[in-house]
Parts: sequence; structure tokens; C-alpha cells
Amino acid sequence: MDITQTTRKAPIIVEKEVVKHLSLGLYRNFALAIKEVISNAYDAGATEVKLKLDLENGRIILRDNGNGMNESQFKNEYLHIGYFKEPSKELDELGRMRIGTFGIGFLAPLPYCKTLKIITKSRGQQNALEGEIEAENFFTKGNWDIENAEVEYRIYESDLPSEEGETIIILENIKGQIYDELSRDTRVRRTIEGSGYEKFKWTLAQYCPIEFPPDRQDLRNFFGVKSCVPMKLWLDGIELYRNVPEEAQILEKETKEFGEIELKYVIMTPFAPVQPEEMRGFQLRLRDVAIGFPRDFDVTKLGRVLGRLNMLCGEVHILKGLDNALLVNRDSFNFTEDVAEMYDFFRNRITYWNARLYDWAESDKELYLALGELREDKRILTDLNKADLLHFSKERLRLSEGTLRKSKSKTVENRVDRIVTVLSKKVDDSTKVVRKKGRVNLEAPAISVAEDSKTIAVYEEHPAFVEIFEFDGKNYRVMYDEWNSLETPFSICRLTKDRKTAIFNKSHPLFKGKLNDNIVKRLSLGILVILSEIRDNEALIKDFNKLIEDTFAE
Amino acid sequence: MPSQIDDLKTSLVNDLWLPIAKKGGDQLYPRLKKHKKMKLFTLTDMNYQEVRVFEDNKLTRREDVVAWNHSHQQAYRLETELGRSKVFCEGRFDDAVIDESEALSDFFPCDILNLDYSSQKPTSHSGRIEREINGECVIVNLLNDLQTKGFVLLYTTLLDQIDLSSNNLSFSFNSSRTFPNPVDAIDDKVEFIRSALISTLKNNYYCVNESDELLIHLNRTNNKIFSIGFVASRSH
Repeated sequence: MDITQTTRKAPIIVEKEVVKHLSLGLYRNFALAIKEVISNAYDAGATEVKLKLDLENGRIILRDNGNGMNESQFKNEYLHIGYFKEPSKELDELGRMRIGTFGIGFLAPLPYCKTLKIITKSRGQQNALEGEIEAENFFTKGNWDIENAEVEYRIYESDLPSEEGETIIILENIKGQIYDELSRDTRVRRTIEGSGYEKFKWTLAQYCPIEFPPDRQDLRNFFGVKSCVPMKLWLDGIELYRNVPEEAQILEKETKEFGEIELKYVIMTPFAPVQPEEMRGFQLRLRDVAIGFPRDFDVTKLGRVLGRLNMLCGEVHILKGLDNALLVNRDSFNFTEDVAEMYDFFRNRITYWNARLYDWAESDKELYLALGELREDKRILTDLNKADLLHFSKERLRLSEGTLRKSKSKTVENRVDRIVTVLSKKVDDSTKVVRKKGRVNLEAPAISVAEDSKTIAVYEEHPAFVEIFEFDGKNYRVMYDEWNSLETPFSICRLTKDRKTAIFNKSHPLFKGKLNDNIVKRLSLGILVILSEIRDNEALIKDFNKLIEDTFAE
Repeated sequence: MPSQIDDLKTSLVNDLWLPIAKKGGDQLYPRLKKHKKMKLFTLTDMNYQEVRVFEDNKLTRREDVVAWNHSHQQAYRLETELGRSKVFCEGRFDDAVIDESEALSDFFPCDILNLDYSSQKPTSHSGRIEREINGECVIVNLLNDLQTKGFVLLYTTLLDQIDLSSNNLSFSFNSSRTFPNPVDAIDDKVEFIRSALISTLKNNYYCVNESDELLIHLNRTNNKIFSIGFVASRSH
């Protein structure tokens, strides 16, 4: 054997099976395969991408108005598997950072159709190129020779003006399982509602580099690059926007740096479990394209039990520093030191907001109980919500009518006092809770929040706060005070001199126990009223019986 | 399609097709007040203005539209633009309908038949307009066979320098007026087309309840766009 120390060269051989595995492994999800084609359109400067699912004829058509391809690009780039296009380092003429590809985006839709047809016209040229790829050969004929494969194409005069570019991709004879999936129409609880079609639509809206919906200017402004011309995407004639859970409110938004990584993030909650479930967690995006599924940064794997995690969602947009760390499956990044720091940061934010949501739920519950019937006044709830004093709906907090009634039965406190106390605990130092005296407009709400949310007024004389007891045809206004029950015969209740107001001793032991406060109040007031009037025995008995009947009837 | 025709489409749609389609909707579906939901068959192009205008005016819905375009590139574009509509591309409509009328029967009956041949890249071959009218005749025969009670017919064509001849028509052409052969003057061409279309309707037991037309001159050429609309209903 010749073992002389000479330098030799050995070729690196790439088996076609590797390509097959790569493409099959990369694009397990049909919608994600379509997303790859749409990302290519984005890189090609498309401002509009229109997609038609023509299931009846077993085909899918995608059209974009990007730069298109000339013959050379078609042959040398599009059909060149593994042709690497580096992500751009500067903004292009549309103000975009090119996403870049591993040169296998073209393969993405091939597993799902028998034939892929492409019609493309390069901007600035008059000719269009039309080619047909027998996709079936890639994935069903095991001995297909990729290296010697040929794609037939023809060139003809386009009917578009020279200055326009276009690429139309038609997936023909889509596979049966895709047809079945997109036609499926079963409603699955707590996941993407409706159908396979809805799931497909949702997935595209989640992963493609498109805009947030027009009613989320807050997100558009925060994440948008002013100079960037956005790409619009239509599916079957309907424009898609990025998914945002309904009613999701921003809890926190920041720009952060972790070593080389620079990012912007938003943490949101709809103050209810995020629907659909697939949106729970934080969506990482690199150059506006989603990386993997929404994630919780493995917070639960660290043993933290976060009961409100299902209410949190958000967006994390990587601005720079991770281009070269993206894994080939585009699902995640290499776990570098910077990435680890970023994960740790978000785990802490998630934990923090989980705790805050718990606190808010408890204090909201307390406020609902203090509000009593006023919880039905939508004006008050809207105001308190705007002022960030009320977050959850009473339905979400499981405050049933029974709970509210039970709470009311244990009330020996002026409601205004109670509301003011609860509100004062919720507001920060810059906000005042004030009691307003005097006559009030009966039509106006009993609580109002100033426009700047700095003053919350509680109208003491509002009928909603005036507690009245009706006894023997007379109305008694109810008030509360505290005194030593051992020092006076009127240990529970006393009447004012004008006999119009009943004052209850809220420190009396009977109000501390399990008895229904309303029963105690009615009995004590009733006895007081009866005995303070001169009556014969028969009338006295009659009145006592009536008092007992009325009290327990209530 | 010449770009001037693109510019004129707005005028055609708003000044002729929409008013006629509205009258047709009121006559064919008097009980439907809010939305007529008429089925539209249209020869159209990338702008598909008529679809949008008819949709906006509650005459049709996207899913009730069947569009036809002669070019497969345009048809693919239309597919992605129109979404839920059906789009067909089986070559030139007049060729397809004359040669394989049975294959087209799936698209009918329809309530609005918009035969806008000006959108289908008109050729300069002799006998083009007569062939278009023959195509229209096949469809009206089909609507008659399908016992369609009534429909809106919109016909639009490019009037260029090519003469017309009744010899090229495939049906008996009854007109109160005698036309020169060939028909070369523009007024005679308009009258010829109008008479021929009405003949196809009458031959199939349809009477004309409403009609209107537009003749628009194309800039920088001697060509004109002629468009005519009818509301037709069965005469017995």
C-alpha cells in the first residue's frame, strides 16, 4: 500500500436522497411550503401576492408582481438546488431586508403536486418564460436522476407592459391528502376554528411577511419600518393580515439588545385565554418572517407553573444579530450565548406578567363586588377599563349572580366607602379618587373617570349609593357607624331624631358572623321602630309577625 | 387589448352596462330588493370592472360570477384576482362556443350575459364580428333550451375597417331594412349588429323589454367601440 505523505483531494458527494430528505423534512406543513414561495416573492420585490385555491380542479395558483425572472435567472438560480442567496445587509429599493434562501425554496411545494407550472416575466423585458416541472418525479420515483433532470420551458411575448414583472406558479394535480385537509370542515374546540381551509389561511397570515390589520395601528407603528413598502397578500380574493388575537391589549413594548442581537418586542393579552390556542406564546420573526411556532421560551420546562400563561401572546422581531444563526429548517436559531440571554429575559417577562395577571384578577374581583349592581353599568365599566383599573370581564372571573348576591348579604359598610377604598388601592400616585357631594344628575353614571384618567369621581348622593329600608310604609335611609355595643341599649341600630335615618353599628358581633347582614339589619330596625311607637299587645304581636314574615320572605 | 379600450371601460360599465343590468334585475327579480344575486357570465380582462361594479350595486356576488378570457396568462391572473369566481380559458370564446357548445352548457343559465369581445384581443380577420354574433346566437339558443325566462344581454365589439356580411351569419336574419353587402359604413354596421342580435332573440322566442347602446370613438384611430344592451324575456 502506498502511504507516502502526498496531499490528495476527495470530492464531497451530495446524494440526491439528501435533497429529498431536506425538502421533505423542511416543509412538512403544506401552508409553510406555500409560505416559502411567498417569501421568495417578497425577496423579489413583490408588493402584491394573490393566491387562489381551486380545489375543484385540484390546483393552486400564486401570482406576484415582483421582479420576475429572465432566462438566465430561471436556469442558474431558480433551478439551482442549493443556490445560496445571502440575506441582505442593507435595505433594498422597497426598504426591505431580503430574507434570503438556502436555495431549496423552489423544492418546497413539489411534494404536494404532480406538476408545477411557472410563468415568469422579468421587469424590463418583453418576453415571458413558461416552464413545467414534473414534481412527481422528485418524490415518487426513487431512482429519478436529479443531476440529469431537465425542465422544459418556452419563451414568448408577454401581454404585460415591459416595465412590469410577474411570476405565476401553478401547482397542478395537488395530492389527495392536501385536498382532503383543505376540504376538511370539522370544528375543533379551542384550536383554529372551522376547517382545514381556515387553518391554511391562519398559517399564511401568521408566517408571511405581511402587515398587521388596519385596526392595529399601534402594532403597525411600533414594528413598521417607515420606508418599507409592505407586501399585501390575498387568498381567494380576500386580503390577509397578520393574526392578532381579538381584544389583545399591549402590556409591554420595548427595544432590547442581547449582545449582538437587537430586537423589538410586544407582550399582549386579551385578558382571556388566547384563541386560537396556536397563538399562545411569542412569535419570533426575522426580517418579518415567522421563525417556528409561537413559543414560551421553555418557561414551563423550568418547573414554573404559570396559570395565566395561556392569556399571554406577543411578537418578537429580530432586527439584527441572528441572520447567521438561523437553522436550515427556519424553525429556530443556534443556541448561542446571546440567544440564551434572550430566552432568559423573556422567561422572566412571562413570569412577571403571569403574576400581574393574577393580581389584576384578584383586585378586579374585589372591585366588581364593591360595585354591586353598578357592575351592570357599561359606562362605568368602560371608563374604568380605559383608566386601566378594570381588566377582566366578570364572566371571565366567574363572578356569578350567586357570588355577587352572597357578597351583598355581607355588606354592613357604606358602598361609597367600600368603592373608594378598593379604587384607592388600585390607582397609582398620580390618580386621585374623590367623593363628590351634593345633588347629582340622575342620568349620569355614579362613577366617572376624567378624560386624562387622573381623577375618579364617586358621587355619594347618586341613587345607586343610597341604601333604603322600607318598613311599615315608611322609608328609612341606611347609614353605618361604629360604637361600643355594651354602652347603650341601642347596640345594633339607632334612629336619628327626625326618625328618617337608621344607623347600624357595623362593629357589632352579629355583623361579623355568618348571619345574613340584611336579616340582622331588618330585624333590629323593625324591633326598634315597633317598640318606639305606643301600641296595644295585639297590634304589637301583629307587627312582630309581619316583621318576621317580611324579613325571611326576602 | 388596446389601451384606449381600457380607458373606455369605465364609461361602458357605468353608462350602459350598469343601467341595463339594474333594469334587468328589477324586471327579472322584482321581489329581491336588497340583493339581486344574479349569475353573471362575462368575457372580461384583468380589470374586471363590471364584476366590481355589479358587486357594489348588489346585482351579483363574487361566487356567482363565471369569467372567460382567451389568454391563459390573463386567466391565471383573473383566477387570483376574482377569488371565489370561476374562470375559464378554453381559447377564444366564439371559437369554443361554436365548436363545442355542449361543453359550455355547465356555465348556463345565467342572468347577465356580458359578451365583451373587445376584452378578448380582437383579431383583424374578416368575419370576426359575424363570428362573435354567431357565438351569441349559440348561447341564446342554449338559454332558450334551458327555458330561461329572461336575461340581460350585453354585447360589445370593436368596429374596425373590416366589412360585415350577412352571408357569414349562421342563422336566418330577418330585418325590416335591406343592408348593402358587404356592410362597410359605420352606421350600417351598427344597425346590422343591432338587427342581427334582435333576430337571435326573436328566433328564440325572446322579446326585448329594454335596450340601449353606446358608440365610442377610439383616439388616434378610425376604430370605434360599439356596445349594446338588452333586457330580454320570453315572449310566451
